[in-house]
Amino acid sequence: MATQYDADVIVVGSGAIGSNAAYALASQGKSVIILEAGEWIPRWKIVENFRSSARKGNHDDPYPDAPWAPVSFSPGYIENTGSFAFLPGMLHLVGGTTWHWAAATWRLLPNDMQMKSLYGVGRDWPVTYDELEPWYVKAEYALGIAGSDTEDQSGLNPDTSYPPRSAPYPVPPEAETYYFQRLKARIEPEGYPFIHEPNARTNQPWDGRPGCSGNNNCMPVCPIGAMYSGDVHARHAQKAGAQILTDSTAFKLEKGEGGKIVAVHCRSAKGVDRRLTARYFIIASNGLETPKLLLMSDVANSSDLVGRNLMDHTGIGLQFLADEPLWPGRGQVQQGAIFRLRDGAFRSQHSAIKHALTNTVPNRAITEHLLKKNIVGPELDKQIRHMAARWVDISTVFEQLPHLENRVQPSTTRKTSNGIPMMKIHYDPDDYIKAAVPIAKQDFANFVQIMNGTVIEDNTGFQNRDHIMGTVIMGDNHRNSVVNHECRTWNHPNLFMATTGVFPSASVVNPTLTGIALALRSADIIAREV
Amino acid sequence: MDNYKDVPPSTEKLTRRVILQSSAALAALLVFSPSLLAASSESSEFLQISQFLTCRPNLNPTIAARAYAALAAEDSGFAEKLRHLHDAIQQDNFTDMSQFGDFVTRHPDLQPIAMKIISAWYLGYTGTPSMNILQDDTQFISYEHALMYEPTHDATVIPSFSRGRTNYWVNPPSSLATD
Amino acid sequence: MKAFSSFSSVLTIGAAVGYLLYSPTGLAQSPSEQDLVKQGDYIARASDCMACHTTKEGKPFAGGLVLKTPFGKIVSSNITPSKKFGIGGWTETQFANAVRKGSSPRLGHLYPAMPYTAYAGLSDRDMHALYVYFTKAVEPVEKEPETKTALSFPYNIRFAMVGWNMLYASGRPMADNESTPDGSRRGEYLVKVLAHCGTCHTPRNKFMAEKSSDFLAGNPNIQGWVAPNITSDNISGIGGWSEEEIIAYLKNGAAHGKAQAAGPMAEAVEYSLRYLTDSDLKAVATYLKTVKPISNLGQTKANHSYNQAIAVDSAVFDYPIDRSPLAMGAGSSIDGQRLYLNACATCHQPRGEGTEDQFYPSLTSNSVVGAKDPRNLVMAILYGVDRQTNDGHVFMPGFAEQLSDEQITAIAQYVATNFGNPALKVTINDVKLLRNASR
Repeated sequence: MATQYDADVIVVGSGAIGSNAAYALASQGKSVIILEAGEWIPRWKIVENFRSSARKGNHDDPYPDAPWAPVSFSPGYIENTGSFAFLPGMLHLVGGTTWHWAAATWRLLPNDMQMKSLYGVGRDWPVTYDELEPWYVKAEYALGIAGSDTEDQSGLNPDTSYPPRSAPYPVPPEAETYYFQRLKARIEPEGYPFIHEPNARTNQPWDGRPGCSGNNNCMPVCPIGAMYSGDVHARHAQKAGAQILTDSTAFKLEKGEGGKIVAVHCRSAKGVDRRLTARYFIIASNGLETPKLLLMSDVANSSDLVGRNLMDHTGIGLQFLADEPLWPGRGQVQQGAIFRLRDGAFRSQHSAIKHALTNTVPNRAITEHLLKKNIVGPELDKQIRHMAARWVDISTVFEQLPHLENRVQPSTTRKTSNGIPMMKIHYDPDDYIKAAVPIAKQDFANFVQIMNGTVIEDNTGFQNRDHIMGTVIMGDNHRNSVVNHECRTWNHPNLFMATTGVFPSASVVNPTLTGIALALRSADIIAREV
Repeated sequence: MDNYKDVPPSTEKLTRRVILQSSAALAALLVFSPSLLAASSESSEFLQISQFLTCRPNLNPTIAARAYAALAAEDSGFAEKLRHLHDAIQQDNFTDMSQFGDFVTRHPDLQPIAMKIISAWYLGYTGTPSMNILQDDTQFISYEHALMYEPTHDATVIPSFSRGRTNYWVNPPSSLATD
Repeated sequence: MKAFSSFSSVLTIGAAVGYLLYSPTGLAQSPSEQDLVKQGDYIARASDCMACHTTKEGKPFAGGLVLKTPFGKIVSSNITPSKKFGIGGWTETQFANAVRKGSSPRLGHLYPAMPYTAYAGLSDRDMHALYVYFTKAVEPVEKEPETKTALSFPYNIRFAMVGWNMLYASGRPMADNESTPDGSRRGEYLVKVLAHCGTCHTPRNKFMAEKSSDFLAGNPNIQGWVAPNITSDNISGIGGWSEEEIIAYLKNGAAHGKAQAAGPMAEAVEYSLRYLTDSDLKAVATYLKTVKPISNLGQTKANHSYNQAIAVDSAVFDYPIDRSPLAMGAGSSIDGQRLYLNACATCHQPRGEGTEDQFYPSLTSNSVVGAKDPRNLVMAILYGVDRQTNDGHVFMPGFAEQLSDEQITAIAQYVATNFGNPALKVTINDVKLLRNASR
């Protein structure tokens, strides 16, 4: 039977995960089409959009919010019905949301993948760390990750290297900021291990990208492209022969005989529809759009788990003034983490905790703070400098467990300008993370005390961390999950999910690297079958 | 939202050309129309008061015109309040911003407008920005000229601009001892 | 250099112990052999053999690099000590003839892409060290380069080179003169012979031969780049540079407020010049200051002397935009100022002064921006800068993939008008030509 296909593989979504999978396939000679709802936008234009923005803390603002391809902060795009406004910053353009991530690229710990069997909570992964390890290496070399080969990233055993790695990091860690050095020197001896954060901001030329020079603007856009974003591999995929169709929002997956998916339907801004066929389909449209597409298409959902088990690293924050000048804002926007409770028996009781050191230039936050207090004149300039030198900002994250009722669904009431449903989310932070909040707040109090500090804000309430997981969950059988250990849907042998939505557990580390590693592995499986 | 319905079909070149022309025209309007206001007396008075309130003798007139336009746009009574502020400063012979607290104790009704002017110059925007929804009352004034970056100019960056070589941040600023 | 002074004994011992290097008993290498290898390594670096005889991903000296010439492509040969594919079977005389006279026992007459007219001046001592180095210390590669030389008539006939050689290859070995008190003869040897500066910087006649009367007066097309006039002329050459600036440039590819090395010159710094000893660098700088000044026709101001950005209202750097989604997604503007501010000013700064540490160099006081010829400016924007130096890896990304020809034209013109030579004119054809030339 000589069926003609438009491509061997169609990848829905041109973000970091989809583009890496697409490149892996295209470079092995497979014909690949990438569908992208947004457009190619050159870096210079995003930089211009940023510099001229009146709301620079709003990370979606430099990106066009087109009525047919809205960003997630578009008014009304996400309707929330839970106790928490789940509003991650997600973008629609070639390269996806890694245009404004901060490029933290941790690996999971082996224990992060065995939450149920080790700690009796949440779920286990149907894939082990050892199986994933070689794919982590490939992902790290694709992105040019700067990392330390000598630290224990669990924070438990100083002077050992952990988790295990079969190859060194491709790029050495960047120099420690003075801010990091001082906080580490004073806080670490009190039992708080400071760990370098592996990151995709190369500090030496890598794959056509320059080394980071501390522009302090990873979010919302790296102005020089030192920080990795998905457009790097979108371009690589294109050069390897993949075709990228922009202005093409996938809205329906079409089922055929034998449980296979036969086509994807996509729509342009003008409402022109197109049907594209392929042997295999990879859905890489992030953890919200991916389940939305499956639900709209009524596919892959015999378990009724598509869109459910939504998780984020829902967190809290702390800002205080230290008793000495530390000068945050020199270098990248974040550099390291404090891991006293990344892993251990306590995880049967409450969430792990990551405290990340934020290193943004604090002038805007400080000046807004001072102006609210009506401080003006020469005193205003003096205070800005004084506080800017001493500002400490800590961003803390927890690991939410998967719960059926935390879910994303297509909206039944609101649509984009070209008639595609927007989305509805229900999300409640769970007791597992709430049990960790008092512990994290005690850490806050300790940090402030050690640094002889003055609190600016230590009661932020829960905050979004934009790490969407669980919505097309991975498991060991078709009743308890949407995809298997290969990220292949149980219901459709030629339909794969390439998104952090497959994660069965959240851990406390940024998920994109693991998402890319899983997608490279899936691409390898597909390449052998197609 | 209606204007997007008139976008020509997505043959890339045509779209870009249209976009280019329309954006150039709009950008020109946005950039140049406030400068016409600069000639008006309110605007030059605004510049003068701004220089006094921010303790900066050389504020940029083009940015001043932009700030004036933004503040006037969000408050139809802005010109009148500005006049009151101007008169009160003159009548009180108020010349030292370190005494601002005393001045607003005498003129509590003038504190909000004075703070709005100072905020616009320091922050580079008017209004209150929203963090995770693209909807608020903000207006852009400036970025590089935002006064909040001046006090730390020797130590940090205006985000997105480079300061120097990779890893320069391993050392503190040379001013550390006196900070 | 004193280590090489007992030349004849080195030669004798070197020849005697040659076989020991590969002897299965693993006997220690004799110190003098080591010295010769070390010296040969230095000469190979100073002569930048690697630049042409090694490809980016290839094994050292295995050849295969394609050199584009006006007459077709020339592919560099394998010069590893492979007996079958390289120079392994060559006697020292055969080796010297290839280096000095362009005559190969295997290929016959070499094309003058191989700068044998310069290497003809190689001293006997350096030639011997080079031979020892290539035959004893280089890993043999048992492979022919994949691409083949393809030239148009009559240059495709290697024998035609006999006539060319009679006309233009008249060099004689020079003494290497390391002991001249002022170092100037050593400098001349380094410039003319080893570093073969003239290969790129001396204009060529229509037969591809260097015009000796215009020594180092500049060559307008080296793989799309201009090799500028580096005579001692104060205005057209580098007469206005201090010796320290010349040395810094050769070592790190950057003389602040003067110029930065990109393209083939970046390669020369990376593979060759940064390995020169301080005394050799000084000798080069001293000698260059004595090269006969030649002025470029009509030039009245040094390229690096445009040191002021033109004055503009700084509010133009800080402007609101149309925030409609279509406008925010449209990246095709050809407004040079907007493009400069958002694609370039991040590093080079809005007023073109670069960063304080000059890690990102100034565009004012910059020879490329102050030139009348737009090519190096356009080439730098298209292809970026990439050079390893003793002071770190300098890298500017190329914008060929991100910006259209129209946009690159607009940026280059904006940069020249605002920070450099107002007489520099960039046309879209310049950009198109250079984009294609380097493909």
